[in-house]
Amino acid sequence: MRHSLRIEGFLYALRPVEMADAEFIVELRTADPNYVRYIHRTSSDASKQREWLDDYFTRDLDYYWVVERRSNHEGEGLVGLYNINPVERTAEWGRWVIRKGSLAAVESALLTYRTGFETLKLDTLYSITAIANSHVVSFHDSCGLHRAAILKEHLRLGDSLHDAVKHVCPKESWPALNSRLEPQAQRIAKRLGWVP
Amino acid sequence: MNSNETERGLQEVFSVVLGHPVGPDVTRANEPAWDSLKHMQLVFAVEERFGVQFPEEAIPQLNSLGGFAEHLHQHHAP
Repeated sequence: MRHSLRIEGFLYALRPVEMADAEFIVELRTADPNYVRYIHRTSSDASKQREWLDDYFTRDLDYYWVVERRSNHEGEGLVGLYNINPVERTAEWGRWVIRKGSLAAVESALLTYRTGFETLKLDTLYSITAIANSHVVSFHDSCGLHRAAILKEHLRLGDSLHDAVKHVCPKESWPALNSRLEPQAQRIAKRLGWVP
Repeated sequence: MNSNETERGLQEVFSVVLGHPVGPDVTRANEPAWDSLKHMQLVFAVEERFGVQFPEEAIPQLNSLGGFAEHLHQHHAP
């Protein structure tokens, strides 16, 4: 979806994905073999990514951002809110990739939840993660999210089907989640040079 | 502080942050609970315990208890 929703945090910001990000997206989604095996296959051909983005720009209810460092606008990750159900006011958050060596994970998650609950006024955000992707499953657990379901053979990754965990965060849990993530994101930002 | 004391101290910190006892061989790769949030909690907890501050570029590289210990000995020796 073409949108202009830019979200500023302490050290990082979410800015709308643009067509010029195609190479960056391919690089990020194919660089780390430990990550690649847990996400939907991404072609290493940037032209395929541009085709995907062409389609994405025509879709409604789908927000895709680059996680960029505010000081230099350098991209360090990607994240999205999509499958938005405007009736039930729910959305999936995912497409989450953070460049190896970046410390943007905590703040990018915080900004994504904040956008979903405070800007888009959604009632529930959920994520679906391959069970084998243990560190991301653990991240959602560490955030205090509720494991709502184990989805058998839900994700097709490569040529095989994988079980997945559905984590759910209702808006009632947002204050507690915010109080868990925001101080940590702020502390990381201060360490990396952010000045209040 | 000798290396055994450092390792014991690290194991105590890691066990608290990760929520269960860990051995000296724990790594980010072999410990499912060592996620991105816990990683930063480990960094800050170790810094507080040992009175040090890791440089930004070192933080993503601290991917094992042994790596923490090595950094403490190399850069923060008494």
